[in-house]
Amino acid sequence: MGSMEVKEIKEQILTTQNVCILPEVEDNLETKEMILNMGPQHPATHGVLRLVLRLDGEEIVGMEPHIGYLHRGIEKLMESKTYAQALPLTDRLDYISSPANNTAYAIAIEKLFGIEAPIRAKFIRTIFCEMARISSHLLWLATHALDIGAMTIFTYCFREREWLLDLFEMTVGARLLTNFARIGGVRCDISPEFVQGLRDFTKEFPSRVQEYETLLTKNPIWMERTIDIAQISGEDALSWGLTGPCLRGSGVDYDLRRDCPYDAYPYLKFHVPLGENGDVYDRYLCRMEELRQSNEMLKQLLDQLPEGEIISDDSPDFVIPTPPRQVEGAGSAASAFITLSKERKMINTGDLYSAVEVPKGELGVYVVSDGSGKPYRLRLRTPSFVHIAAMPALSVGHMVADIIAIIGSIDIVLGESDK
Amino acid sequence: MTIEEILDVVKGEFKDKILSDEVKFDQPSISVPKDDNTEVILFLKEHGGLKFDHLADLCGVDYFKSRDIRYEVVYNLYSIKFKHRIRVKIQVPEDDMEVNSLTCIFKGADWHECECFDMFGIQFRGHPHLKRVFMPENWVGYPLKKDYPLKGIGVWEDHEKLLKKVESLSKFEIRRGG
Amino acid sequence: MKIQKLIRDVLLIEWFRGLSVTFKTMLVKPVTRLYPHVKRQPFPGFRGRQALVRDPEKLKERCIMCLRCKTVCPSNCISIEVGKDENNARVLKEYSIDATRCIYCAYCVEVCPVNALVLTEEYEYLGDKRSDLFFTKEKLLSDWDEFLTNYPGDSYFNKFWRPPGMPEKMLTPQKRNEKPIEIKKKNEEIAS
Repeated sequence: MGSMEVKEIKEQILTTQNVCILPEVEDNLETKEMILNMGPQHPATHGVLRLVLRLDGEEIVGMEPHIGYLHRGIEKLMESKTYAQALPLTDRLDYISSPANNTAYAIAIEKLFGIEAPIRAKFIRTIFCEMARISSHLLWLATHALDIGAMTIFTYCFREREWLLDLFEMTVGARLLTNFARIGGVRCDISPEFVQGLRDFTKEFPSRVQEYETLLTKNPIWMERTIDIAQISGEDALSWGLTGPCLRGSGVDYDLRRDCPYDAYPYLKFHVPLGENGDVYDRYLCRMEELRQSNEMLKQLLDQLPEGEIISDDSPDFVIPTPPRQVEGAGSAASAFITLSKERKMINTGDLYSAVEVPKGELGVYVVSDGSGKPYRLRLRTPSFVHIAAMPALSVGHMVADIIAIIGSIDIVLGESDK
Repeated sequence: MTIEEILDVVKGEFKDKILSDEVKFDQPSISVPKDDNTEVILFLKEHGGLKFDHLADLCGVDYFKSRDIRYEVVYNLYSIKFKHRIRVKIQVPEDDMEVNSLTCIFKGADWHECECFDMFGIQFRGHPHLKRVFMPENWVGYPLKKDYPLKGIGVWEDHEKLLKKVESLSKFEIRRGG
Repeated sequence: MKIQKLIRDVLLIEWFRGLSVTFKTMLVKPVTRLYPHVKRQPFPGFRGRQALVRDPEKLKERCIMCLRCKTVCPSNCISIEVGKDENNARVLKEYSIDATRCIYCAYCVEVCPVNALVLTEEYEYLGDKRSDLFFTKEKLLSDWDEFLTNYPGDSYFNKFWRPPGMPEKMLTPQKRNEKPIEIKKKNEEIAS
C-alpha cells in the first residue's frame, strides 16, 4: 500500500469513527530528567536522610542530600553545661558506639585540664572502645546486607551483638547509651565475670566472622552488586575529607590508632587493612578484617590488663564546691567557676583539637576554653557529616538500586551527622 | 618536623602576613589576615616538607564582647605523611563577613562552610551553593551566636501553621509552649 | 583460573557453601527469647525507673535537701521545693522528676550524699498521658515500695551508690558506711 492510501484511510477513520490515532514517532524525541525524592522516611537510608535524585531513566545524573531532621543543637547545649555535665550529650552522637564518643570527649578535656588517667582506666576505656567497634561493625554488616537482600546475616549479626550489649549492661547499667568514661578515668571498675564473659566471646567470635564471610565474600550476587560501584581514588577521597574505612578502602594509609596513639593503643600490636580499588567491595573487606583485628586486640588487652586505680585524683569535682543551697536564685553565677581538686588550680585557657578513631572514621573535638567551668565553644567534627557530603561524587553515573549499596558502604548514622 | 621547624618554614615564606603565632598544648597555630587564607593554606598543602593534605575541621567561633573582632574561622589541618598538625585562624569582623571559600583546594570544605554559614551567618565567596544545612530554609537568625538564646526566639512560622491545622481538625488537644 | 570459575559457576559451589551455613542453624537451639512469656532479668545496676528510698527506720524519705541532684542533672528534670514547718526547720515540700526529660545517666544517684535516690531495675512501665510520666514525691516513694515487694532477694544495694573501684576519699562518710537495705518479708509484716 502506498503512503497516500494510508493517509486517506487514516482520514476516513478519524472523521467517521472519532478515533484518535497517535502521531508517528519522530527520531529526535525530547526527554526531560525526572526528579525523584527518596524521602526522609525510607527503610534503607539508615535514619532520616532525604536524597533528591535527578534521573535520566534509571541512571543518576545528579543528587542532593538534605539533612537536619535530627538536629538537636548539641553544640549549643554544651555551652550551657559544665564539662562533666556535657558528657552524656556526647553519647547521643553516634548512638550505636557510644563508649567511643565518650572516650573522645574525655581525652580532649583531659588534655585541656592537663590531667592524666591511670593506666588501668586507659586499658578499660580501650576495651570498651574496641567492643564498641565490633558492635558498630556488626550493625553495619547487618543493615548493609539486609538492604542488598541478604536477610539471614541480619539475624546472625544481632545474635553476636546481644552478647556484647549484655557485657556492657553488666558493667555500666545500660546497653546502648553507656555514659561510661569520666574526665580522668572511667566510672566504675570491671568485674571478673565481665572478663570471663569477654574471653568466651573472643574465643567464639572468629568462627562467626568466618560464617559471614562464607555467606557473602565469594557470593556471585554480592560481588555483582558491590564490585566497581562508587569507586573513588585515594586523592579524591582525601580531598573530600573521608576518614576511617572509607579512606582506607581507597588505599590511603591513615589510622589514628596507629599514627597518633592514645589510651592503651601504644601497648597493642595490630594490622591496619587497606583496600585497592576504593569501591564498595573493598570497603566491605576492610571492615571485615577490622572485625578480626579488634578481636585480636581484645585478647591482648585482657592479657595485659594491669591493676590500679580507675580514676585520677585530679578529676574535676562533680558538683560545684560552693554550698548548693544558694543555687536556686544564683544558678548560673554560682556554677560559673569550677576549681580542680584540693589545690584549687584554675582551668587553662586556650584552644585544642583532639581526634580519635571511632568506628565510622575520625571524631574530632575542638574545644575553646575561657577559664570558666563551662566550655566556651565545643565543636564536634563528626565523620558521617563529611561522608554524606561526598555522596553525590560517589553516586553519579550509577543506578538507583546502587544508591542503597552506597549508603550502606559509607556507614552513616544520622544522629552523628545532624548533631 | 618539629613544631619550631614548621613555624620557621611558614614564617620564612609569609614574613609579614602572619599576624601572630602560638603553641598551646603542643599544637602550633597561626593567625593570618582574612583575605590571605587560600594562599596560606595552598602553600601549606603543596610544600614538600609540610604536606598538610587533610582538612580535619573547619569551624567558626563567636567571641562576643571578649574580643574586638567578633568572629573567627578556624582551619585544622593534618599531614598524613609526616603526622603533624597545624591550626590556621582568620579573624572576621562583624561588618565585613565575607571570606574566601576553600572549595577550590579541598572539596570537603563545602559542607563545613555551609554549616558555618548556617550557624553564624559568615558568607563564603566562591562557594558553589551556600545554603542552610541544619536549620530549615526559612529560619530567621543564626543559632550559635552568643546573643541567640538557648530556647530560641518565638515560634517558627511553619510550626504555627501546623498547630493551626491540627486545631482545625480538632481531634487532639493542643498544649502550647513547650 | 577461567576453568575453575566455570566449574564453580556451573556446579553452584558457592551457593552450596552458603546453604550449608544456613542449614546448620536448623540443628542449633534458637537464641530467640519468647517475650512476654519469658522475661529477661536485667543485671544489677541497670538504670531503669526512678524511685525515692524509704528509710526502713524513719519510714519516710532520706532527702536532706542539699540540691546536689538538681544541680548536676544535665537535662534539668528534677524540681525541688523546700519549705519550713512550724519549728522553723527545713522540710521537703515537693520533689518531682520529669521522666520524659530524664536521660537515665544516674549522675543524681552517684552525687546524692545520703543515698536517697535510686534508678531501679524496673523497665516495664508506661503512661497513657504526659502527666503519668511526671513523677511526684508520693509516686516515687510508692514506686520504691512496689519495687521492693517484687524484688527477688533479701536486701538491696544499688551499684551506683558506691561504684566498684571508686576510691574511698571520693565518697562521703555516709556513703562509705552504707549497708544494704533489708527487705522485710510480707509474712513478717503481717505477723507484726
